[in-house]
Amino acid sequence: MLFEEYVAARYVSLRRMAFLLCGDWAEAEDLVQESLLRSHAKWGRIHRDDPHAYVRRAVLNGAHNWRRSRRLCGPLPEWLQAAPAHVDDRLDLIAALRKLPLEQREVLVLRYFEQLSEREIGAELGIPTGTVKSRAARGLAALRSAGLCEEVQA
Amino acid sequence: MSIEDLFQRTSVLNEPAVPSDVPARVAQDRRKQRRARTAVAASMLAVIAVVGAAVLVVHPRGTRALPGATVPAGWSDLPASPLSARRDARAVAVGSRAYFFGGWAGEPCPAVLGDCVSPGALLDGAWYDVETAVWHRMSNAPDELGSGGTAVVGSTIYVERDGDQALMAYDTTTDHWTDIPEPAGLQGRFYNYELVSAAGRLFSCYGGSEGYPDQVYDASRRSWSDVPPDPLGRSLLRSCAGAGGLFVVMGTRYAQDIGTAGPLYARAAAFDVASQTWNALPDSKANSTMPGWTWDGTELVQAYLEAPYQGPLPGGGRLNPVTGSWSVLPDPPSVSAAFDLRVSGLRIKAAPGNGPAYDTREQRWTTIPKAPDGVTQYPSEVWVGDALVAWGGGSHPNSRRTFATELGSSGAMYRLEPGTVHQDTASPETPHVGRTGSTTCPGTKPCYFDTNVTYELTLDGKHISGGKHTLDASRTYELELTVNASRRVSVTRYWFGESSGAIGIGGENGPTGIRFLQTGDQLTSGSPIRLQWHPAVTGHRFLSLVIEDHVAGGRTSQEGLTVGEFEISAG
Repeated sequence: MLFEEYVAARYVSLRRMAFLLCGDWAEAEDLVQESLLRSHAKWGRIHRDDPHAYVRRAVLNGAHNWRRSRRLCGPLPEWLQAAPAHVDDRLDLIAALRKLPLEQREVLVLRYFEQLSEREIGAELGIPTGTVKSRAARGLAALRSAGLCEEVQA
Repeated sequence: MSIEDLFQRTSVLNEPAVPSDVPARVAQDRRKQRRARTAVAASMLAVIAVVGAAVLVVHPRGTRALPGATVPAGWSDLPASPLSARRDARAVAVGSRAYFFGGWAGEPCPAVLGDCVSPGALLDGAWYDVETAVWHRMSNAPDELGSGGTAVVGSTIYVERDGDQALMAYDTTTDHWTDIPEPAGLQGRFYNYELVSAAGRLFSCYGGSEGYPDQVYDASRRSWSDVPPDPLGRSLLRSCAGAGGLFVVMGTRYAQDIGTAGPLYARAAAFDVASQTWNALPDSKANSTMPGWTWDGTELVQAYLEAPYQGPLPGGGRLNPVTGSWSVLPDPPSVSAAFDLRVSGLRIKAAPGNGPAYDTREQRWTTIPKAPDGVTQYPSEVWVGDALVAWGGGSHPNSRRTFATELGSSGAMYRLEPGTVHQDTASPETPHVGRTGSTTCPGTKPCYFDTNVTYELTLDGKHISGGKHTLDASRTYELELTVNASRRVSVTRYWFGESSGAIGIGGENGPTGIRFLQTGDQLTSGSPIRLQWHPAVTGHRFLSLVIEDHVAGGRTSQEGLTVGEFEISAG
């Protein structure tokens, strides 16, 4: 798959995943753009395998790098700050996700947005399946305490 | 409603349109407009410091060289410093002084602990005068200095703290620290702003693609004001540089345009601080946006060994901000795989071992030899005139570790030695010299592959050229392909298609039955590869290649370059 083909097919999805990770569209855009540029440099190697897994991993790595420099998830965007709580469950989810450690957040996003299995998440993140389960359980517990996903079993 | 539904619905909450404001055609039109103008001012810089920047030996015009009598060529030890051992101290040059301040006495956080705060942050500092060979203490900073950018405006060192992006100023004449306000609106953004000194003013420049204005600081009023919007529009990898009286901004197009619009070429514009006007500069045809563009008094210069976004690139480039002319630096000396190169912007020196450096005055690469014993592997370093002053830092006994563990407080200074030239001077950016055969770009998409390419094909050791060649699929043939190009290229795909220029999308067993034949790796110019037959490949077949130009970031069109025609019988 050519790089342009991949970007055309996956850009929107990548940006949505990044938005769930950071709760800010502008930052999601930058995160994805940077990840794509990094991936492009290695496209000759990765395009034959599973480029989406590689780019998705680049997005997650980027989120971790930015968090390390304390640039991930700064102040809530104004539109989100102004939104009343418990009116729109989507706003509640974004706010709740932002309060989670990134390790839990990425597991939930991979599980429920990318719809990967726990085993696939473990392989993608390089962590045991048990760790995936425990992070997902803690993340879901936090979402439930925010009044979300109360019916979901970990 | 399932949790998956909630995540999917939330993922489109207030979703803005996917940016499409830099389509290839618009970009081309802009380029034409720019060419029609008289190229005026300055240029460029870059942003995300993830890269392999190399040592750059900058000799600003008019800068006083160090007295040769007191500073011998080669390495010499510094006297003992008043500072304790530390890693990652800031290193800044002001006049003949090398300032070292901040840093950490403790171990850095392990990479896996993203929320960890490195312990042992230090507030003190000292400066070393290379002319008097004497150390002097600085007053302590009022707060942790962290890591981040610095800029020198006159006698003031501005220090940005990465993370919370607090700003401090140190007056070298009064030895006094003050907090200064941060540029408005940039707290908590993903990308840091960059501090730039231009026209005797301090500028801030946001590195992200969103539209946060660049700002200029008024020291007398202690306030920032917006710089008028630059003419580049929305750009990726924004970065800025000071170039005399010009504030220069650079960026690239969006990732979506890679391969069609050449987005990794640098785009640049210069803001004349005196007239408060922007001038768009011609786009580069070979240089990329990378961290570490430095003003040497006439040109902005960048040297690097490796690029993150585009694979191998030349060793950097130069831009004259007045004429708008770009040039390409020669390739750096080869660096062995074992060479432990640690670079960041203009700061580098990889000790022990040789390290390449580009001398802006001589316009050539040179090599810095191993530092004296006692100097750590990763000292803080800064160029003061002709001398590289290195102090402190740490060494790690296990080279696979990414952080230093044995801290040092020794220092040394290196003056360039003559006779270590590796390569010739920079050459003008040459528009690509021509095209070969069917590298023309059919279809509607623009093609940015202009590199002059020749190729040789041998079948069982015998050179073959045009015309159809009959093969027996039951036999094994040795088909060897060698591509030679005027610039760095690689063959990223090759295949035997059923028609000239036909390509199946989707890998092996694509919709047209074309099977991709895998190479072990990319084919670099001049290195032959042996192609493999596959039993499924029979009938009338055309051998086609996709060749990628690493300099331009473009490639042959999707249809590829057809280099051979075969009639393959089933045997």
